[in-house]
Order: sequence, then structure tokens, then C-alpha cells
Amino acid sequence: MSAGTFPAGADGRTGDTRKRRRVAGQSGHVGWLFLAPNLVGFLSFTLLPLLTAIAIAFTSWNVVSGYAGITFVGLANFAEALGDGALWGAVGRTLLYASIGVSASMMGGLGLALLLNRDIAGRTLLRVLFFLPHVVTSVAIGLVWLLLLNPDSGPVNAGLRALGADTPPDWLVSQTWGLPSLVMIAVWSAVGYNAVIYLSALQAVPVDLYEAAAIDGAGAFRRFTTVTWPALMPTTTFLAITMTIGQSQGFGLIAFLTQGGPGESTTTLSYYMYQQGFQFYRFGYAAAVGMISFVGVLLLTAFFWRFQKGRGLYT
Amino acid sequence: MIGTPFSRRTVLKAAAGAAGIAVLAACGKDGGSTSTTGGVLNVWGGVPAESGPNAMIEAFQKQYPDIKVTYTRYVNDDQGKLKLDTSLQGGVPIDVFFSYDNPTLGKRVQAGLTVDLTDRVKNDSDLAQFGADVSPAANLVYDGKLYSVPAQKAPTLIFANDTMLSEAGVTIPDGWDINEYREVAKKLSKAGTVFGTFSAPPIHRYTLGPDYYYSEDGKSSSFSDPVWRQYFELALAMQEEGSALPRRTIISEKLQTFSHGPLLTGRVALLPAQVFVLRYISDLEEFPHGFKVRALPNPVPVKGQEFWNDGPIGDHISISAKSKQQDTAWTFVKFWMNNSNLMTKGGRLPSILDPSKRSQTIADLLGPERDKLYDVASFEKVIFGTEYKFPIDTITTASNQVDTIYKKLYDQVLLGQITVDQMVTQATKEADDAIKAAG
Repeated sequence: MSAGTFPAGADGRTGDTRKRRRVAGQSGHVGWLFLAPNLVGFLSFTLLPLLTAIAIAFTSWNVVSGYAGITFVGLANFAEALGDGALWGAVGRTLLYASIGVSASMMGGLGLALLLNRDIAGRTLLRVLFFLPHVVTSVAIGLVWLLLLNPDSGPVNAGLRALGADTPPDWLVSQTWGLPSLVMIAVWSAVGYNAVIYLSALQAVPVDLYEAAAIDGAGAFRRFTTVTWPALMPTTTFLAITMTIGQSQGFGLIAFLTQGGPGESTTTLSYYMYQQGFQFYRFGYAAAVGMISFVGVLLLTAFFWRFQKGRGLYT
Repeated sequence: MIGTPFSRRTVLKAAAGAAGIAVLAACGKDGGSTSTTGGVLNVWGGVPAESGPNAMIEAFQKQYPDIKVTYTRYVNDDQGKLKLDTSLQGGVPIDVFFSYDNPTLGKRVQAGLTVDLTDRVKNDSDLAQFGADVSPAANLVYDGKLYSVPAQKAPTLIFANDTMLSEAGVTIPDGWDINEYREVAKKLSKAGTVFGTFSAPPIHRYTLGPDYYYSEDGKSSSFSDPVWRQYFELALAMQEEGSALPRRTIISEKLQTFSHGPLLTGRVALLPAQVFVLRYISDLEEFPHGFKVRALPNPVPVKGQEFWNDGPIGDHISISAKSKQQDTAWTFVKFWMNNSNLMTKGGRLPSILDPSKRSQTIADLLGPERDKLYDVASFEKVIFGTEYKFPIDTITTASNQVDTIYKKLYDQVLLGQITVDQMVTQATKEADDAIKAAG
């Protein structure tokens, strides 16, 4: 190839290449512009507060005294938190609340999805009804459950008494039943959402897999374990991660229904943090508890991620 | 220019710049400037504007037409208090603000958010009664200095369903004691449907008075004092015999802050409470009821001895340290203090009251339908017939923590989840630890 065959261009690049780069540059420019609102929002309202919280965790600060009142205390807040029995109590309750809440709402969601995936009458209406609690505010949900679970006049205990229970539980005002009641309400409000997510995953499972399994003589249970469940694994992982994060940060229902009581029986990590920060004005300590909680949730998420990775569910 | 792609660094710089602008804009929106120019006085309080502040401001502006007053209501809960604190700290133009309890005001004082009013109060003939060196204490004092003046001074009393008292043929003895109170509550109770009283009267507070959570020197808690045990044993006994509303019901129906509900629906006959309850009793639309309410004095723990009333001095008015018009703000504070009768319609008793205006104050307090809804004479007698001793707390060490510990254990003991012994032991240990940790 002779030099004369090269098109004009000092760098020896073709006009097409420059054009492509120009177009690529333009699209990169436009891409960043599209990203900008979200990026600015993320930096301002997520990253900046997160970094600030990390910094505050190493200080003693009551907010009222302003920036001048910030005192660097090193790891003192973390040392106090990790040596505090109240924190570990809250961690235990949070684990209980989140683990039962996540597993029960996922199992319930899957059961509902399998039911709604069938050709039953009023299926659309049922889907809407089951999804409804997910879009209702936690205060409204709390108010309804407060009436339902009233130990004296609530319909739940009226029903239990009619069935012969002499001393039905005191539910939200009981040290024993307070946390289970909150878990029950959390499961009730999350199960519909999980069902809808599972339902969409179920509808994506190829029908011929079921047909092939049936031809091979697989019964309903076998078809579920060999076709449905593996196909739902990515969805299950997604729900396990998002639900664990959500449930371990659960606050609204607890703040409205029990304020962490009776005693400390429903004081979870989020409520403990709120109490230390907003009631006792110990923002440095509350931020340290927040960081500990953050690390805990991060480890759980990493566990789920690792769990699914070996199975090639997400790439 | 087209064709120059953004580098990551450029974008990050731009984003950081935009975030900075957003933060600055947010500051600007909150009023980053501390000046309150143009004769506008900004007042922040927790009482709804229509429950007195509007009338007060209208009267003030009539007298001082060149000063415009803007009232901002904040909700006096955890979030609302924090909002006021950060606003004061962050430079939102606030000249005058209200605090409603000692620990909250104490924090604001400690943070330098309030103006020292000691000399202004001392040199004002009307307000000198709230001076720092007045004995017994009539104001909140911090290291010998004053940072607020209390606009309200209201005793607690017993609100009674007059019809139930009459039907039960109950006569209330003069200077009744706690045992007589309990007997009356028993007589007024009807198994499972009517409870004699909403709760056992707080005899621990009547006995211990100011700083009742603390020992004399303030370095430990007072829960080992026998009066705490006595109070809990009384409360449990009354609950068990059905003469007091069970704590279980109070919690499950969230009646802690709506204690007037059971009185006005006929579920309880006696309600120990502060006078702000009157605004609910007078509201026939929200709380329709067909009986009169009578005022009774608090029972005494031991007959013949002098005790504290557990009512507060409250509505503490302060001037922001960042206010650029502190003299104007002081004019407003003095006006509010001298005209606090304008707040009586909202159920607040003025701390400065001309004795000749007592009947009028009672009339304002009980509202236009007073003859239908109240035994008016009983209110005048109970509210003004006695010179009350008001407990003024001065210790704020870990006060929010101690209060939370107490409330948690109070619920537990009345729910039957721990014994009185356990309560006393646990409260003492936890509160002492909190006080020690706070130094």
C-alpha cells in the first residue's frame, strides 16, 4: 500500500474514525448530562450524608451546640457501643425481626404467587388486593393493626376468645408478644410485593420445561423442585438482599406502634439509633451505631451475593 | 466545543460544584442570613397560632404598629425541637422562641443560643418576681443566670365527672388524702365499664418536688427513696382492684397523651391532669358529652402536711443570641408576659395575673359554655384558692435518659412484667449509670 493511498489527515487517521470519535464524544457528553440529575442527587443526598455520618461517628456532638461543639473522640463511640449490652440486645432483636420477617414474607409471597399464577377467578383483583399493603403508609397500617390487636376490644382477641382462648395474648403491649406482633405486621405488608415479583418471574419460566419434566414422569412437587425453584433463584436472591436491607432498617411501624417497648422488647437497632440521636442528642454515638449497623447489613448482603455467585445466577 | 467528551474528573468536579451550589442554595432557603431587618420580629412557639398567639400578636401590633411579628409554630416533639435547635444554630432568622421543659432549654442555654436576661428581668418591676435570686425559685436558673421568663404557671388538679360523683353520693372531704382518693375511686368504679380514676395521682412528685429523679446532691438517682415503692404499690393495687384504668389499656389505645378521652366518654370518673385538658372538655364537637366537669384539689400523701403541686411553670420565652433586634424582642417578651391572659382561651394560665381578674380568667379559661359544661365555682376555688408550691427542676444531667429509663420501667411494672422490687433496683442502677456517664 502506497502512502498516496492514505486519505488526508496529519495523524494518519481516517475522516470516518474522527467522525466516529466526535459522535462518541457527543453521545458521552449527552450521557453525562442525562446522568447529572441523578449523580448530583446521589452525591448530595446519599454520599455526602454518608461521609458526614462516618465523620460524626468519631465525635461527640449534640447538634444544639453547633459545629463549634464538635469534639473528636476517636474510637470512643465505637468502643462504648460494642461494649454496651443494650446495643447487642438491639442487634439480637433486629436479627430476629429481619430473619423471620424476610423468610416468612418470601415464603408467603412465593405461595401466593404460585396460587395467583393459576387460572383462578378474580385473579387480577386478588393481585391488586395483595399488593395494596405495599403502597399504604406504615402509619395507616399501624393504625389498623393497633385496633385489630387491642387486647381488650380488638377483633383478633374477640375471635380467639370465641374459639375458647381464656387469656389471649396482649400483642403489642406484651413483652413476649410485642416483637412477634411487629414481625407479623411487617410480613403482612411485604408479602404482596414479594408475590408480585415472584409472579413475574414465574411467568418467565418456559412452559416447555414443565412439559418435558411431565413427559419424564415428574410429579407436581418434583416439577417445583427441579424446574420452578431453580428458575426462581435469581428472584429469590434479589428479594433476600433487598428485603434484608429493608427489614433490618425497619423503623416506621416500631416508632408508631411500640416506641421500642414494652421495656426494650421491640427496640431494634434503628430505633435504638433514633433514641440515642433524637431523644438523647448523642449524635456521635448514634452515628457510630449507624456505622456498625451499616457494616452488619453489608456483610449480610455480601453473604447473599457470594451465595448466589457460586450458582451462576447473576453474572 | 462539540466533540470534547467530559473526563470523569471533569464530571466529578462539576458534580461537586453543583452539590456545593445546592448546599448553599439550601442554606439560603433556610435564611442563611442572621439579620432580621425591617422591623420584622420572628417568633417560634409550640402553641397553634389560633389558640392564642394570633390574638397576642394582633394586640401587640396594635400597640406597636411599626413592628411586624411573624409567628411560626413548631411541634414540640423530638423532631420539632431539633428543627428549632438547628434553625437557631443555622442562622434562620428567629428573635424570640419558646421552650417547654428544663432539659431542652438547658441545652439551648449551654450551646449559647439564648440571650442572658438576668439584668433585664431584675430591672423590670413586673418581671422581677422571676429573678435569679428569688426564693423559693420562680424561674429556671443556670449558674446564677436567667435565659428565659415563664409565661405560664399552672397547677395540676383532679377533673371529675360531676354526674358520676352525684350518682355515687360521694362527698369529697376537704384536704383529702391519697387513701380517701382511692376509696372514692373505688366507689365510682363499675366492674369493667367505669374506672374510678385514669391513674393513681403521682404522690412521688407531690412528695419529692423539684428534681424528683435525683438525690439531693444530683449525683445519683432517687429511685431508692421509699416513696417510689409506695407510689408503684398504690398504682398496682388500684389497677388490680379496678379503680384505675389498666396501663395495658392506656398503652394499647395510646391514651398517654390523650388522657381526656376516657373522662369525656364516661370510662373514667377522675382525671389527674393539667389545665390544658380544658380545651378538649370545651370542644363539644370533637368530644360530645352530657355532664359537667368539677375541679377537685390533688389529694395529699399525708394529711396535714404541705406538699408540692406537680404542675409546671412553663412556656419559657427566650431571645435568640443571634437576634439583631434584642431590644425589640425584649419589648415583645414583656408584652407577652403582661398580657398572658390572651392565652387563657388555649388552656394556659398566665404566670402574671392581677388578682382582680381571676373571675374573668376562669371565664376565659372555661369558655362561653362554661355554665353548661363546668362547675365554675369549683375551678375558681381549686385554681386560685390555694398558694401552690411549683417544683422547678434545676438538674439536667442525663435527664432525657433518666426519664426514658423511668418510663420504660413504669410500663413494665404496671404491665406486670417486673416486680416493684425489680423496678426499684433496675431504675436505680440504670439511672445512676446514666448520670455517672453524663458526668
